[in-house]
Amino acid sequence: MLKILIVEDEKPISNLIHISLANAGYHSECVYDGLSAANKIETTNYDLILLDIMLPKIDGYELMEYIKPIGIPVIFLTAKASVADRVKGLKLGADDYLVKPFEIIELLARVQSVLRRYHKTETRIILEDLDIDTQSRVVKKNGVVLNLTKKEYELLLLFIQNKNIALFRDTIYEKIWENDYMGDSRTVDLHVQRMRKKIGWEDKISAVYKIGYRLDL
Amino acid sequence: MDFSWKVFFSTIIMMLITFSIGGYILITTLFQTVYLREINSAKEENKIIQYSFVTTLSAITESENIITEDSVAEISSTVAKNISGENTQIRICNQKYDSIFESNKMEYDKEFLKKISVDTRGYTVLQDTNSYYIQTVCCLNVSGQIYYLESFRDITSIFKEREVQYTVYKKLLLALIFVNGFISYLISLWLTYPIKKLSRFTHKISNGSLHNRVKINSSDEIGRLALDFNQMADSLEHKINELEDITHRQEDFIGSFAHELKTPLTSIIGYADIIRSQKLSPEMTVMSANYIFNEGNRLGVLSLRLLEMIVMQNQVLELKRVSMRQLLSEVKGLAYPIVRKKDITLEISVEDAVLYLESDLIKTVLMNLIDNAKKAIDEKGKIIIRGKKEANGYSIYIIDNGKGIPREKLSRITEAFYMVDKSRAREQGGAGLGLAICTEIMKRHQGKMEFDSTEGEGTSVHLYFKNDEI
Repeated sequence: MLKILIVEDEKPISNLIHISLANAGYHSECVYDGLSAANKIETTNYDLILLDIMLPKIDGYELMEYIKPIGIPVIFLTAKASVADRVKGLKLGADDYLVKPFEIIELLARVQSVLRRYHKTETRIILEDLDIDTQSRVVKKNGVVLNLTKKEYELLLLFIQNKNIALFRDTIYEKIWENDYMGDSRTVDLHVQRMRKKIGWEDKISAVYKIGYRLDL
Repeated sequence: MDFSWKVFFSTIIMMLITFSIGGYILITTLFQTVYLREINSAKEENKIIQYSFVTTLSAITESENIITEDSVAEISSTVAKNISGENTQIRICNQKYDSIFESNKMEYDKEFLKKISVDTRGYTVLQDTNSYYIQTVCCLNVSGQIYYLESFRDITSIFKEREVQYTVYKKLLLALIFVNGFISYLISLWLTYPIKKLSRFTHKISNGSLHNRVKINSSDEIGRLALDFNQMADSLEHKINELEDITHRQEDFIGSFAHELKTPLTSIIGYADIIRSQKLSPEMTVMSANYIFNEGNRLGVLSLRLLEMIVMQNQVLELKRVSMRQLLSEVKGLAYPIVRKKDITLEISVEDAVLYLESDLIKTVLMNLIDNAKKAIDEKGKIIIRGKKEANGYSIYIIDNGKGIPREKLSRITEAFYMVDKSRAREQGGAGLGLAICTEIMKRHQGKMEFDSTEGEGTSVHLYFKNDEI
């Protein structure tokens, strides 16, 4: 299991990230200041660090200098949204930059993308009766290759990455079609329904009233 | 062109003009004097010739009665021998302008003779290639015969002298001009050196190195200019530092404000997101809702405090006569519910005085400080408030025996959003704006607020109001 360290001094936010990561299937630990973060990093081997910048004792930038030689990927979490701050963070060697306030789905997507860049994600996902190879983008059900379109494949992956989380139609539309949602739910409904029918997950991917869909496992 | 070169060239031009005119006038005047003297001498000479000619001729006329031209010539030659020197030649002509006698062979023009009437004398200056002569003519009537007596005085030498004077003067002028030009160039270099120095420093300052100052040790205008310039640089540096400070503080404020605003927002949005999109256990739902509630409250406190600060900054103070005894007893009443919860003793001793204050704002300051004192005390503490008359004002001390403030953090506590212990402040519902508001209020009252604290022993706050009317 992938291990993520959350360095954030605001307990509510730290807890929020912890819960969200746990739901998505990551193991995470929380520390509330720079010093204990450094201690943790020394003793444990993490796959990813989520790092707040304004921290007591040692701030995020200083901690970054310490983490960089170790080579653990880092995503900065910060309220500082100015371009100069982002550039400073990225120049120090951060892999990504997440500005507060953020949505959970945004957080998970960034975590996923950084881990993929470091080849820390599995290229093979085995879930229930499905066997997915994310490199060749082939989906098999009980050994039989399913014929999914590009959009259907991406939809399936989105649901798997956000297990047990209700995905809003506008979120799905924005993520898969990479366009602003114009209020037309027909496209999303059509694709989701065709996809779950093809893989036979009508019972697992269920419609949530007035919201969208959720993959329950 | 450099100033030194300008001085150099203008000196040269000025000298050239004045010395040329002066020299010309001087030489011409000198020449004129000599020239007039020569003319006078020429006239005198002519008179002498006339006299001796007439005397001799009269003597002969008496003895011989008839005067032939030959005898006139003879007389003339005698006269000429007596009179004429190296410089003077004589010619005598008859009525018809024919030469009767010439001391030397000469071809001088005779036109001038026609202008001279009987018994008068006239002169003119003749130029003959390189020579100058004064031709003096006197027309005589001796026993019915008209004679023209001419004397020619050679004055070439004075013209030559004038030429020589001109050449010498020209050379002298050139030499003088160059020597003086050079000297004036050096002088202007010396004079403009401080200006150049000043200009160099101005340049440096305009390029941003504001700490530069000019060192010019003279008490003249330039020295004073340098002094003024340094003063200007001082105040400029001061102003710019002030502006930079203000910008820094504003940036810090905006940064901290964004942080303080976004932190609760992140929790609120995040937990709301969890509630709306996940199937949660009842405990998880309550926990999430609780976070939203608390962080919402935190935003509420923050916005109220900010509002207070903004209103206070724009409010016009209405100063009224306030009795300190009354003010502090009111504060005691307000503070009682706060301190009672924690079993804290509140001790107030006041020396009465009347001050001009906005009493609501000062109550805000005192309540904030008491609240801070309360927060610093864990259990069973004591808060002492003491009002004391001073020579030119009034002091209020708020002393607690709480946990104190670390020395290195003491200087920052009045900054907006600064919290000594962030998590502790959060738990107690602080927004980090209390002391910033107090500072602003004290500033508006021209008062002072000073902190003294020992970690583990407590904090003492000193409020000082200046008041000349006590």
